[in-house]
This record gives sequence, C-alpha cells and structure tokens, in this order.
Amino acid sequence: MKKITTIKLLVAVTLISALTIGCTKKFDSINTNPNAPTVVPATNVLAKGILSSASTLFGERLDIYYTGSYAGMTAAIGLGDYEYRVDINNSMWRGMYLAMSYLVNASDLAKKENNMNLYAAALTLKAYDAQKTTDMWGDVPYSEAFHLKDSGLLYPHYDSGPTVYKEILAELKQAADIFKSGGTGALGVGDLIYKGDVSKWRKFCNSLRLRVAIRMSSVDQATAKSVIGEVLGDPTSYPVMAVNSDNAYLNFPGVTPDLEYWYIRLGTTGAYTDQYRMNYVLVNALQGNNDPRLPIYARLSNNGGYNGYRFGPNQLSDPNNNGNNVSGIGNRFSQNPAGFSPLMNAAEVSFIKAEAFQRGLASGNAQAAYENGITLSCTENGISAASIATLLSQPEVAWNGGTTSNLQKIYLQKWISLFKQSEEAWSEARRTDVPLMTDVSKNYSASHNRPPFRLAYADEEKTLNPNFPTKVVETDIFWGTQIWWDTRTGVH
Amino acid sequence: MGYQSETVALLFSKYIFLKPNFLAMRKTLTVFGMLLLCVTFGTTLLAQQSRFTGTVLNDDGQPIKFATLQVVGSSVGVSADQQGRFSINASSGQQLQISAVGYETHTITLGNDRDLVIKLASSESKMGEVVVTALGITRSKKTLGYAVQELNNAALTEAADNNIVNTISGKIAGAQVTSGGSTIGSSSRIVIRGNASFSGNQPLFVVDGTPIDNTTTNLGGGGGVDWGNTAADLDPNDIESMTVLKGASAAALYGSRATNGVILITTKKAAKGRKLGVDFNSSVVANVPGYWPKYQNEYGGGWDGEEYVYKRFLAANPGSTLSYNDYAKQYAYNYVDGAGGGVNDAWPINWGPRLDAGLKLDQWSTGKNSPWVSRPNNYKDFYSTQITTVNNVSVSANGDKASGRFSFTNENTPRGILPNTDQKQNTVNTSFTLNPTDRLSLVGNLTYLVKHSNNIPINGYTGVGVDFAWTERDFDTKYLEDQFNQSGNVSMWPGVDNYFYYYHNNNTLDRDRAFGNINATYKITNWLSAMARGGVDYYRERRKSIVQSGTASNVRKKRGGQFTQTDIFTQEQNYDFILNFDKTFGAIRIDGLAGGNYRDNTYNSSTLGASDLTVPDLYTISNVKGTPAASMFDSHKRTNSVFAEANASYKDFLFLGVTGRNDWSSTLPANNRSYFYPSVSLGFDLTKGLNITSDILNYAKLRASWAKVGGDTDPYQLAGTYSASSFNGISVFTPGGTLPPRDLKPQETKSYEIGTNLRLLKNRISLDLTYYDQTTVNQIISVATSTTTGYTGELLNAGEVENKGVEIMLNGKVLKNKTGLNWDITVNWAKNSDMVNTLYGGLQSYVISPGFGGAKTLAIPGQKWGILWGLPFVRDLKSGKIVVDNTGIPLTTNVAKNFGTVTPDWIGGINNSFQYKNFNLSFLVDMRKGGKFFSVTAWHSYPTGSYTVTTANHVRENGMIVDAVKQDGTPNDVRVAAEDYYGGAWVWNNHEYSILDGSYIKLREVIFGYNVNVRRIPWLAKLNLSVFGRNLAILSQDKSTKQFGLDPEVGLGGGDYGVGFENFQIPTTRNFGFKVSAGF
Repeated sequence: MKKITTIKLLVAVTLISALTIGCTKKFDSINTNPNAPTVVPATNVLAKGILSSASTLFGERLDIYYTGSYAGMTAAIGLGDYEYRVDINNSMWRGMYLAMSYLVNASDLAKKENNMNLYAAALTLKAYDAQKTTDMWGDVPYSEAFHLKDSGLLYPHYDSGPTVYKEILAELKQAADIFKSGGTGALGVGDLIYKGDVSKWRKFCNSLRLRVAIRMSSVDQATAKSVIGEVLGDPTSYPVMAVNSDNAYLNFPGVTPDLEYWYIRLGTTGAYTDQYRMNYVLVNALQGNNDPRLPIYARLSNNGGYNGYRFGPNQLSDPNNNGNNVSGIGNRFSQNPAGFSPLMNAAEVSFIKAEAFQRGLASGNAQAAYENGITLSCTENGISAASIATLLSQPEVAWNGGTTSNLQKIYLQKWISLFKQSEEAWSEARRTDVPLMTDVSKNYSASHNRPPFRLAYADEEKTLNPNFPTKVVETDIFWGTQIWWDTRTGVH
Repeated sequence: MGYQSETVALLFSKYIFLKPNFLAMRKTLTVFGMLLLCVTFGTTLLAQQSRFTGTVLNDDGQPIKFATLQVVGSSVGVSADQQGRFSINASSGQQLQISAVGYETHTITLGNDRDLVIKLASSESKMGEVVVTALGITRSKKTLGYAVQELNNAALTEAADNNIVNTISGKIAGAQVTSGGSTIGSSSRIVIRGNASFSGNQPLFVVDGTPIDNTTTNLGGGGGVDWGNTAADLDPNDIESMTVLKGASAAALYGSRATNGVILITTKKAAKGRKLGVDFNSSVVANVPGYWPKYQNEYGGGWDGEEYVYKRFLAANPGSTLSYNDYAKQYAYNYVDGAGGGVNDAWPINWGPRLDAGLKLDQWSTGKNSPWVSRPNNYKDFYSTQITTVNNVSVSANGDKASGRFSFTNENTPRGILPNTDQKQNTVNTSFTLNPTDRLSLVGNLTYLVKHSNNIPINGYTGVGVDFAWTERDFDTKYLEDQFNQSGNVSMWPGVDNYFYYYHNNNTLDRDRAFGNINATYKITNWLSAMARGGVDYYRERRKSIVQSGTASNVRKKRGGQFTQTDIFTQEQNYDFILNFDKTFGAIRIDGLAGGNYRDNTYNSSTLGASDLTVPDLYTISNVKGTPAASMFDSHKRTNSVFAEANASYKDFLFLGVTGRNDWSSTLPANNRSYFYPSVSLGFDLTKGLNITSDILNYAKLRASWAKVGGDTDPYQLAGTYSASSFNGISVFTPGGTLPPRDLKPQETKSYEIGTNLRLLKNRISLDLTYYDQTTVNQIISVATSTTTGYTGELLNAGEVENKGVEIMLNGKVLKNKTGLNWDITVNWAKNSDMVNTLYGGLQSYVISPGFGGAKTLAIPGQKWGILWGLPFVRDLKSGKIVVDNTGIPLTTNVAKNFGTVTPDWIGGINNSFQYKNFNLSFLVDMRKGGKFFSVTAWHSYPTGSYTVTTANHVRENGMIVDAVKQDGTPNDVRVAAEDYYGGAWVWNNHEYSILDGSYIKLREVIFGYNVNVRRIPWLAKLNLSVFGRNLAILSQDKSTKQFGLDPEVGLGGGDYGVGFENFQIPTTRNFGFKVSAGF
C-alpha cells in the first residue's frame, strides 16, 4: 500500500512539473504581439508626422482660439478671453514634441531604408515644427531632445532661442543639400503634402530657410543675411516657392472621418451660432483697403455686414460684440470638409523677398516682390485679376502710396496673407508690431498694451523635467520675457 | 422535508424512467440531468427507513451550521444546513454521532422521537469557526496566522444591491468601496488595505477556487459610459459565503494577482440533510434619487440682470428712468430665437434678472411678456424612480452518493432613474457533487448568465448633470419633455439637443458569460488526497453606441448618424493539480499541500465604427459613408506555477504555516520570467498554551506573518510597436509612445502583519486587531517622461509604495437572551497610510490619473498616494489672503500646487443588530474620514451662476467685496457684482475652490425582518419577510460638500482614473426594498 502511494505521489509530482516548467518554451511566441508591427515603412510614419504637426498647429484650439486671438485674426466670443487651461497647454506642448518625435522616427527609418529624400523631407518638417515650438515658448529642449532611446537622455536641457534657430538652420541646410545632390528614394504614399513630388519639398525646405532667417534678421542680421544670400543667390541649387502650386498645404479628402480641422469644429448650415468668429483687427485691416479678400475670409454676420470682435475692457458689454453682429469665418477656411491646413505658401516667400530687398538684406526689386505677394495671396483666394489691380491701387496698398511706409505695407500684407496660419501671423505681429494691436482682452487690458508674448510652459514639463529652467519669467501667464527676436520696445 | 417536495421528486423520477429509450438518451444527458437522476436514486433507496429530523443547537440555543451526523456503524451520514436543521434516515435503536468543528462530539441513541433537538457543548477553544482560505481550502480559523474576514449570504442578500461590491461597504475592516454612481449598471471600486501600486489596486475575485474576471470600467475625470465591473455579474442569491483575504500573507498562494487581497466566494451547494428543497427569493427595490445639487432659485437666465448691476446702471446713467423690467428686457435677458436674436438668449447661464419678482419677459416656454418665475424642480423633473425586481428559485436535492442544486435568477430593471435606460440579467447556477466511491468525489459548479441593457447613460461631463448646471433656473423641463414627445429633437437653443432626445443615443450592452469548474478529489490514503480542478470564466460582450441622425450636430453637418460597436471576448482557464496531506505525529499535526497551476488568459476585441451613415439611423457597417473605422486587438498570456503549503500545529495551540510559490509568466523577459515567493505565518493560542481559564479572558491568540509576492505585467510590453490608423485610405503608423523596457523584472510586494484575537467576558466581546506593513517595489509602470525625450513614457521597474495600517474588528453581544431581546454590535475600523517613498531617478511625479480640467492625481515621492494637483489662488505671502487685481477679481497663476491626498484618513462601519423572537432589526452606519476630491460640479458652480453659493449673502442685490488683499498688500475694497466674481474667467484657472473633503457618515443599511414560525406547517421549511433600505441618509458630511448638495462618496467608474474626481454626479439614490424568502 505504501509503495503504491509513493508511486502515485511520484506520478503526480512528475505531472505537475511537466505541466508547468516544460511549457515555458512557448512563452516567447505567446508574448509576441499579434496586433502591431515592430518595423514599418518610413513613408507611413512620415504621414503620421505630417498629420500630427497639422492637427496641433492648424486645429481648433491653437489656430482659431489661442494664437488666432493673439494674432488679431479670430476670436472666441462669449467669454472672449485669452484662455489658459493647464490640460490644453500640456497637450499643445506634447503635440509639438510628439509630431517632431514621429518625424525623427521617420527619418531614422528612412536612413535604414537608404531613402535620403524621405530623410530630408522628415528633417525639413521637423525643423518647421521646431521653429513653431521655440517661437511659441522661447527656450525649449532641442539639441538633447529625442534621445531617450539612443542615449538614455531622460531630462533634456533647455536650449536658448538662438541656439534652437542655429540647429534649425543647420538641419534645413543639411536637407537642402541632400535635395541639391539629387538624393535618392521616393517619398511614397505617406507624403500627404506633395504626393511624392521631391522638387516641391526642396522648395519648401529652402523657403523655410528664408522664413527662419527673416524672423531673426533684426537680432542676428549677419546670419540672416548669409542665409538669405545663399538661398536667393543660387536659385538653381536652392529653389524656393514661386507659385501657388508650390504651397505646402495639407489637403483633406473630405470623406469622414478625414475632414479638415476647422470644418470639424465649425462646419454648419443655417443660423450662425458658433463662438469662433472674426477678429476686429483683421476685418478692419481688410475693410480699410477695400480688400476683396474680406468676403472670402469672413462671413456676413447674422445682422448682415462685416464686423470683427473687439477686445478691450468693455468687450463683454460692447453691442458690436453681440453674437449676431460679429462675422463668422469665411467658407473657404471653415466650411469645406475637403479644406486645407496651410503650412506655408508662396505669397509669404514673396513678402520675405520684398522685406529682404527693402531692408538691404539682399538685392532685388522690393516692389515687384511685394505686389507679387499680394497677387499670389489674392489668386489663391480666387480673386480676379481686375480686383487685384484695384486692390494694388488702394492708397495704403500702393507702393509708395498713402501714409504708411513701404516696409509697413509689406508687413501688413504679409500678415493678411497668413490667414489661417495664426501662429505665424502672431509671430510676425510680435516681430514687426504690424498691425498695431493695443487692445487686449478684458481681464488683461489694465496691465498690458499688446497681446500675449508667449504661450505658458506646460505644467507637466515642470514636473517631468528637472532641467526646466528656473529663470523663466511668466507674467500673468502669457507675458514675461519677450521672445528673443521680438525687438519691440515699450510693450508690456 | 414536506409532502409536496416528495411529490415533485416522484414526478421527476417518473418522467425520467418512463422515457422508453432511456439508455440512448443517457448519452446526451446534461450535467443537470445526471444530478436529478442521482437524486432520484437516492430518494428511492432511502425511502424505506424512518426519517429523523431535527436541529443542532449550541449552548445558547443558536443553530450550529453544517454539523455532521453519522449513523454509527453505517455509511449513512448527513450534514445539517445553515440553520442547523437536518434530516436523516435511520432505525430506532441505532446510534447517531453528531460532530461539528469547535464543539464536543456527541452521540445519542435514536428512539421514537422523530423530531430531535440536539445540543452540542462548545469545545474548549471556543474558536471552531472554519473559513475558506486560498485555493478553496477550508481551515479552522484558529490556526491562521493572518487576518481574514467572512460575510455570509445574509450579509450579501438581505439588503440587496445591483452590484455585489456595494454590499461589502462598511462590513469589512479596511475595505473601501466607492460607488461609480447611481446610473444603471455602474461600476464600483473596492480597495483592501489601501492602494499598493499606481494602477489596478483591486482584489482578485475567486469563485469556488477558480479566479473570475472583474474588468472594471476605468473612467477618467471626464467620465464616459460606465459599462460596469464584471464582478457585478455575480448573483448574491447563489453565494453561500464570502471570505476576504486581506494581505499578501493570506493570499500568497494565489500569486501575483493577490497582492491587493482576494475575495473568495463559495457558491451554494445542495444543503446536506435536505433531500429535496425548493427555495424562493423575491425582492423588489425602489431606487429613489435622493441627493440633489443645491441650485439657486432667485435669478434666471441671461447676463447683467442682477439687482446690483441694475443699480450700477442707474448710477452710471443719472437721468435714466428705466424700470427694472425694462432694463432686464433691454440688457439682461429676452428670448427671441435662442441663437442670439434676443438678449443673451443663446448662452444658457444664470446671471440674468431676478426671478419671482413680478418681471415679465419674452420666454421660450411661455411666450412674450410672460411671468419670469423660478422652476425649482426643473432638475428633479428629469428623473424617475428606478424599480428593480429580483426573482430567484432554486431546487436542491440530496442523496448519499450525489447531491445537486439548480438555481435561476431573473433581475430586471425596466427603467433607470434616467429616461430610456434599463438593465436585466438572467442567471442560471448549478452545482453537483458525486461520491461514486468512498474515495472519489466529483464536484461541478457552473454559472451561466445573460445581461442586457438597451441603454447605459454617460456619466460625467456629458449628459443631464452638466446640462442643467448650464441651464437657466427658469427653464421648464416639463415643456421640454412635451416638445420632445410632440416634435422630437426640439430645444430652446438651436444647436443644442433636447435633453430627452439625446438619451436615445443608446449605449447598448450585451454580455453572455459562463464560469465554473469541475474538480475531482481522490483520497489516496486516509492522510493523503489528490485533487484535479479545471475552471474557466469566459464572456462575450457587445457594446454598441449610436448617435442619431437628428442631433443638432448631425443636422448641421448633414450626417446620417454615427455608431461604434465593440465585440469583446475574454477567457481565463485555470487548471490545478493539488496533493493534500494531513497527518498527526503525537502532539504535532502536519497538514498541507503541493500543487501546480496552469493559467491561460485570452482577450480579443474588435471594433467597427462609422462617423457618417448613408441611410440615416441604419447602424450597420455596410451603410457607412466615408471610411469605416475598424480595429482589432488580440491578447494572450500564460502563467505556470508550482506551489506548496505546510502547516504544523503543536498540541492545538501553536500553529506554523509556510507557503512557497514559483511562477513563470509569459509577459516577462526570459531571464526574469521565473520568480519565487514565500510566506510564513505563526499563530499562538495563549489561553490554551498557557492554560489560562478565566471568565474574563476566554480566548487569546497572537498571530504574525510575513510574505513576499511577485507580480508580472500585461502581454506585449517588451517590444516597441507601431499602432496603425489610416488617412484617406493610406496606412498611418504611429510609433509607440512608451519606450519598451530593457531588463524588466517582476514587481514585488513584501508585507508583514501582526495581530490578535481576543474573546472576553464569557465570549461576550470579541476583538480582532491587526497591524500591517506592506511595501511594493519594482512596480512595473510606464513612468511619464517629458515628451521632449521623444517618448511620453518609459516602461520600467520603479517606485516604492508603502502601506501601513491598523484594522480593528470588535463584536459585542450587548444583550443575550435566549427568549428575549438580543443585541449585537459589530464595529470595524481601519486606518491606512499609503506613502509613495520613491519614484524613479529625478522624477518628481507620476500621473495616476490625468483627471479633468487640468486637475490631476499624482504620485509624488514622500507624499501619500494620490495627490490632487491643480491651480491655486494667488495668495499674499504675509497674510495668506487671496490677492486680487485692481478690478477686485482674483489673480490667476499657472503654477500648480499640491492640494492633499484623495485617500481617506480612516474608514469604518458600525452595525447594530437586534433580535427579538422572530423579529430582527439591523442598521449599518458606514463612515469615512478625509480624502480630498476635485469636484467638477463645484468648479462649475461659480461660472454658471446656477448654485446657491452664487446668491448667498445677498451678493446679487448688493455686490460683494472679495475677502482679499490688493497686489500691494492693502485690503481689497473694490466692490464687484456677483457675476464679475463668480462668472469671471479667472475661475477656469483655479481649482482650489473646487477641492472638497470626502468625509461622510452614512446610514448604509436598515433591515427589518420577520421569520415566520413554520414549525407547524409541514410543507414549509422557512418563510422570511423583510423590508430594507440602503443609503438612507447622509448623517454627516463636510460643509464643503454639503454646500453643493453633493454625495461625497461617489467616484467615477471603478478604476484608479476616476479616484478623486466628481463630475456632475447623477443624484445618488435612496433604495427601499421588500423581500420574501421561502423554503419548501
């Protein structure tokens, strides 16, 4: 009996051991993810980088509400205030850095695929995002950013604005030279901007170099001049956007769920009730010159007529600001499911040229470039040649006409052409003080004479990165130290 | 056992035997059929002998449950049932031996008396209680070196709740239950001994030795559809008892998943000794919405309408003769089209003119120049009483070689408190025991249930809660309902849906679930047995959410509606093989087990969705307009384990237990895949060991234990992957946001506990005290990283969380009177402190919940678990007062701050139960001290102007000077209108005024029952009637929650994400019920 028991016991123990220990061999295959790939084509990640950049920069919150109202282009009526919300601020910061990290990922994959064109395109867009990021916040991590995986860098240190610009210029130059050398590789289906046309990415890249250079031109004129000189001086090697078909626009298919971002928020028929409307500053500027773009940019208010929302201490009780008196945003920009997110356009390049020529940063015909900029912008908005001619003859538009200087005219027309690129328009207004915006939102009107200087840093960054600089000055959330290329004086 | 039940048995047997092709049919017999068959055999064979029935009682005349009765010298033996009743077949003159754990064995000789009352004397220790411990092993409580606590069926069913987790509230020391809300089918969260890690702190649920799934809806601070927690599928009517294993020591044998404790559930079996029994339970419960937000009824819709603003207007326009009515109409509020055509008619907000002051304005529901009056019940008008009926019938049968039970429950809630919401569940539970030989026994348990809801509403920042906060106090809900009934989606504001209409945007739930196990035990020798058990829990679930084409947004965008449909399949299989031994060597008794476990988890889900439909309101994927959304996810995990336990007892007063378990998990890297963890426990019966006999100290036991438990992670964490989506038909791959780990190790929890059980004053008082300290290290978590690193998180071993605490259970028999009034008081109290000792590297915080509106919960080194983090008032350093700008409005900051922890200081419950003859009355008071939360209701109470806080102290008549200082430190003297302060933009950048204290004392349960004396009714075994109430009153709460009329207890969902956030809670209900239980 005892023997049998022992045998039974042994059998049982063997069974247990066989059941458990023997079966771990399969564990590696059990734990292999059947749902998601570990390696993918670079082009499909580039697509993510493009979409991610566009959704943050040209989505509702940043483009219509925040920078839209700082830039004097749009406004949120109702409470109508500059909004600060911790979570939204976090998500914008995160949105920019995630977009860049996707582009870094795409460029790494492109390198492995030996696809240098795709590498250069990803680098171009990453630099584009980087400039936006530093223009919004100032000092930001860049040289040490995106290195957790390869170098274990958990707490990237913050680079000053000029340092970030230096890096951006170097990256753009690297990309431009890859394109110049006739880089290899197709951009593939993931190029949602240019449908695989490498020559247009090349123009986008060099145009961006001009944008970066002109932004810093008042502070670091030497660098600006050398970059502008290199690009404009060698159009064969460094072509730039010249016609509207060169525009870096993300066009939406307009089929659900892939709808344009402003449309998703504003798409409507019938009575107009949305809180997002036109800003008085832009409507006023367009009206002042009888600009034919007004009915394209703006919709008639419910009471008829064009009118923008006015910021100021009395904004809540101002009858002009009544919901039925304020224009909505024009159909081309807000009512088309198959609309676009404008990353950059040829008109801006023409205005950059005009400014460079006018300020002697390069030589050329400033007036021609200026008028070409207006023409490009109007044409893009479907304005007839006759109407463009009329516009060009308006006193404050015509070169050497009216009371404003030609440079101011360049600044104003460039700003107008940047509609729907609110962050860019805001940066230009901060750099040039054109248009002059002294009315700020109610709660801040007593202590500030210009719209916000900056976005507040993300709260999460302060707790997640011990290298968050202690010297940051944030006054009333949106103000504090001006961005390094913002040379305005007497502003607060 | 009455006459009728025998007839039923005969009918069964006839039915089966009369079938002509019985043999052929037998092949297809179900388990249930076999059960009935065996019962029939048993009944037939035993029918010749005399039947003795009776009750086994203790010294106090209380029934002893499950006593064993054995006819000496025969194989006939039965067990008494829960009420101590038994029935056994024997002949006069035979001897009957009666034994029960904790009592002296007693033998009587059977005579002519067929109805026996048998009394057993307590054995010396007076601690004969047996409890179910890990792996379903029944052990004597006195031998345990760790804390366990039991709840019987009555505690779970007498005051039934739709969610079984809720019925635990206040009854188990150290178990904190947070209800996800009063919407139908909502989940509840239970945490035992506090939060040990940064996510998933809930205990493991085990039914009859096999783990079951308790997937819990993890809603964030914003809320969403609460699909419930799947342990709520359990039907309390089928539960015999519930044992709560609180610490790692008690649960060490369950391995990694038991770190947070185990809730062991034993389902009902056929009551031994009752040949055939039919039980019927029926209850009806009314849930009446009971706790309403404190809305003001003094001022209505609009802006600039308060009396102070009117006075200010008159002062600024000295010549003006504008009456208040004319002013109001011109500047504050007048309805034309709800789209801005009138005065402030497009924005529902309550800064308008005074209500009930004789004003006449143009309005939506009453037309032009109609009286401007308050409608104090407009929120209540939206709700109705929810009625739930539960009907349960069970049949059990018992023979000497087989017994079984079959039970069916129908639970039906045709309408929740919100319109167009419902839920129903049908549950079948069956169990059988076969003893084909003396050595072999086979036990099977199976539960199958079907759950269905046509619509589960959204909790949180969507729905009627937030809508009414933003709705005018003059708003007529009944008119809205009429509009809906007559014309559909018509509302006061074009662009806003009729509140009744959007409750037809259904979130439908269907779940089919089966769980159970089969086990075979073979007695190898009298000291060794082997058991094999296979168990499974699986369900299929479909969740379908639709949005109708008629919503304002869809009409605006010309869309045909939307839907999302998710199908989920979950399965867990467990196979155990266990050898049990029990042998005595002189004064030393050793028992224990050795075994192995194979566990396999599968989870599959697929989702189809359409963001636009071609044919409106046809919610099928082929009807999609544009690109359909589709996704699928498959997951598979396996663990293998070997384990062993040994318990030694010396002279029945010194007890030593040792366990060890080794797991191999598929989710960990090969080199760290295997991990071992042990536990040791020691119990010492002082009274017996030191020979103490005293009427003051009847029993004293000291216990101590130490344990280490390892843990693994979810599948597929070891490699970085891309997630796929599409844009315009092009695949878009997103790199994973979490950097995969390099050398992941199992997480580890070490704990020790010491405790004592005391019985004093002739056992009138019993006290159970426990102190524990539990530390979790190497948590497997995705620590958030600065996005600037290129990742949003990194999966690694990090953090150290330490839980220390004390638990007290005190029971006092205040009055003890065999024939008169009995009064028992049970008190439980627990204090837990969960500290986050370290995180990782220089990391200053870990996000436990992203929260809502910028407020979130964090783990911060050196702080308690769950720190609420948000934006404070700007305060003057010297005086500590709020700083205002020169317009008298508070300054804002973007520098967030620690507002304290979401975890309570202590929790407790006091139950009083009275018994007088056949009547019993009990009431349970449940309490919680401390624990902060961020109230989104409070956050919106200012800007909406809807709550009484914005009208208190006549601020709307006289304006107000905020108690604050100016930026230069001088006292604020700027008078502002209420709307300037409460309605200012600053409120959105301030969370401080919305941080509330979660303390409460609640009258949780009141039960009044009557047991009808059925001794003289031969066919009736029992008949109980009871009326009960749940959540009857908040006896005390902090003034911070009281001022808003909030129930401080409610959380969001059942996961860690919702802890510390209240978001427009749907009014909690008071539940009133009536229950009948009858046994035949």
